[in-house]
This record gives sequence, C-alpha cells and structure tokens, in this order.
Amino acid sequence: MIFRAVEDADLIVQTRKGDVEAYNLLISRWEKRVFNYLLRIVANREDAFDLSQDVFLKAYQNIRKLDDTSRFGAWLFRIAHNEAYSMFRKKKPEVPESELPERAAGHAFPMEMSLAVTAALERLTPDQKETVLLKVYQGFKFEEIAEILSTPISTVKSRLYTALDVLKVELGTLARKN
Amino acid sequence: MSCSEIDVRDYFFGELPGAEAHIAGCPDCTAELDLLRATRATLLTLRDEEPPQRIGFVSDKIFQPSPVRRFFASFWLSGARLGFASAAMLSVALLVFAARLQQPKVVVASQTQQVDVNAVVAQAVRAAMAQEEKKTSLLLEASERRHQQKEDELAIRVGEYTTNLEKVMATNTKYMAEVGIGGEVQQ
Repeated sequence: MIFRAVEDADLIVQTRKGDVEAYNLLISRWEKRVFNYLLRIVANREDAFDLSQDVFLKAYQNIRKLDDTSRFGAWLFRIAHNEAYSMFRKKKPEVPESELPERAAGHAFPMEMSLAVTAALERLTPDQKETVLLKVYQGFKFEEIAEILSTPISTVKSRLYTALDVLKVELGTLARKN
Repeated sequence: MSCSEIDVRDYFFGELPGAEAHIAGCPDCTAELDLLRATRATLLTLRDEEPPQRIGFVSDKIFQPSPVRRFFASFWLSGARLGFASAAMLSVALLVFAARLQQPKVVVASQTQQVDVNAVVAQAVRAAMAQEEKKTSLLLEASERRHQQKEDELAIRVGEYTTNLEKVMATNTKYMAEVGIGGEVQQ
C-alpha cells in the first residue's frame, strides 16, 4: 500500500464527483482561516460564522466552475470577500470614530496588545485593512490578492504600503516596547 | 522612505531579491526594515480564534452522483464483487472459445486440400485463443489496478478523517474541561 498526502486538488476532484465527505475534509482545512478573515472584517463572531457557512455552501455549489484547482484558496477568499461586502451593503451602518476602541499606551499585556492591534486595524480604510488581512495574516501573494479583490496588483501594493505607514505610526512604539 | 535607491517594503514582502547588500550598508533601510518587522510581529500577536462550531454538510440528492455512478463506485470498492466479476469474465471468455471450437466446418475438398484447411483452421484457432487470453489478462490487470487504487485512496481518507476527528475531540474535551461541562473545572 502506498501512502501519500491528500492534496486539496484531490478533494476537489472527489467533491465534483459528489463526495460530500471529501468536501467536509476540505472545509476542515480552510474553515478557521476563512472564519478569522471574516471575523476581522465584520467584527462579529455570529455574523462571521454565518458568512463562513454561506461561503462554503456557495463554494460547493460552484466548485465545477473552478478552472485551476491549485488556486482554490484565492477563489474561496474571493467568495468570502464578496459575501462580506454583500452583507455590508445589506445591513452594516457606519461606525462613528468615537465608538472605536481606545488606543493602548505604554507597555502592553497580550490582551492590551490585541486591543491595540484591533484598534490600529480599525483606523485603516476597509480596503487597506482587507489588504493587510490578506497579506499579513493569510499570506497570499500580491497576484492572488489582486484576484480576490478584482484590483490591479499596483493598487494592492499601494493600499498595503499606505496601510503599513499608518500601522507603523500606530503600533511602532508598542512594537519596540514589546 | 528616506532611501531613494530601493523600496525596502518590496524587499520586506519578498518582491526585491538581492537587495541584502544594499540594506546591510544603508542605515535608513536597515532601520525601516526593523520597523516593518516589528510592526508585522505586533500585528501577528492578534491570534486566530476557533470558529464556534465545525462547518459540515450532509449529502443532498441534488448533488448526489447518479445511481449508475454510485453503483460503479461501490462496485470497485468491493473486493468480493471484483473477484466475482473477474471469475465471470473468465468464464465468458472460456465459453466463447469453446463455442468457436465446436462450430461445424463445411469443407468440400480433396484429401490434400483437407490437410491444408485443417492446418489453417488450427492456426487460426490458436491465434484467436492467444488474442482472447491476452485481452482477458489485460482486463484483469486493469481491474486489479483500479481496485488497488481505490483501496489506497479510501485508506488515506479514513486516516485523514480520523486525525481530524481526534483533533476536534481534543479541542472539545479541552473546551468542556475549561467551562466545567462533563468534568472537573481546571484550577
């Protein structure tokens, strides 16, 4: 008997043949990443979980349309991006600046650090924040981010670099202290 | 950016290979790179959270494979059925040979011609038998290969599923222990 790692591409092939268990295995590999990406965009666990379920359902229904199975990650996150912004269009009111979390100062404990990072991310524009999430937290290539956001690579880089300039100011002192 | 020669952000994100020498000798770029690294490290202190539940789907008839495909899938996953099919295929091949050998030949010819005809028929029968045997053997080999491949795939999937299940159970057990359900609350 020969053992080899089951790639996402194998699971996609099985899913296309109607194997739901193969798809459930594929979900288990990606659900945490998708959930956390959505959580940081919508800032609500319940909404993020509901959206994650919608994302995986939509992916299942459209998996035959995925041309290149090696690009499953970018394709999945594109669905997640669309679902999140679709929800925003339906319900999200603008959050006033005064309701944003306070900035942490001085030496930060882990919880304070998390709050400071969350607050710093909230100071970015939605586009900048999403680019940071996809690059720094999800590790996508510029080309993949451009595909997910339907934006030229030059725009992706511009958004990311501007966001980093903001974050360096917001978190620089904290980063040096910690 | 105070250095006009390179954009250290490109280097930071792996887009500018070979800039190490410049950065090592440029205090502005070194400082910028350190700040970028520190900023990223701070950003990554925001830990990923576990989803509140596992996401999973049950089969839906709309997306189920057709009954024919399901039959073939279950067929190739069953060793007994595959063995039966191989035996049936072999029996059919033997019957075909036997039927061919028993077919009466109407030959009106002289004694000399009869000998030639018999030799030709015997040669044709041998060739036909050899061809059928080869065909049967190829079919059997292909069937066995497919069967082995399916078994391998199934074993891999079972292994993956078990590992995943163990992880989920471990997480649940830990969570239950933390919140004090079904066990002692951790002190």
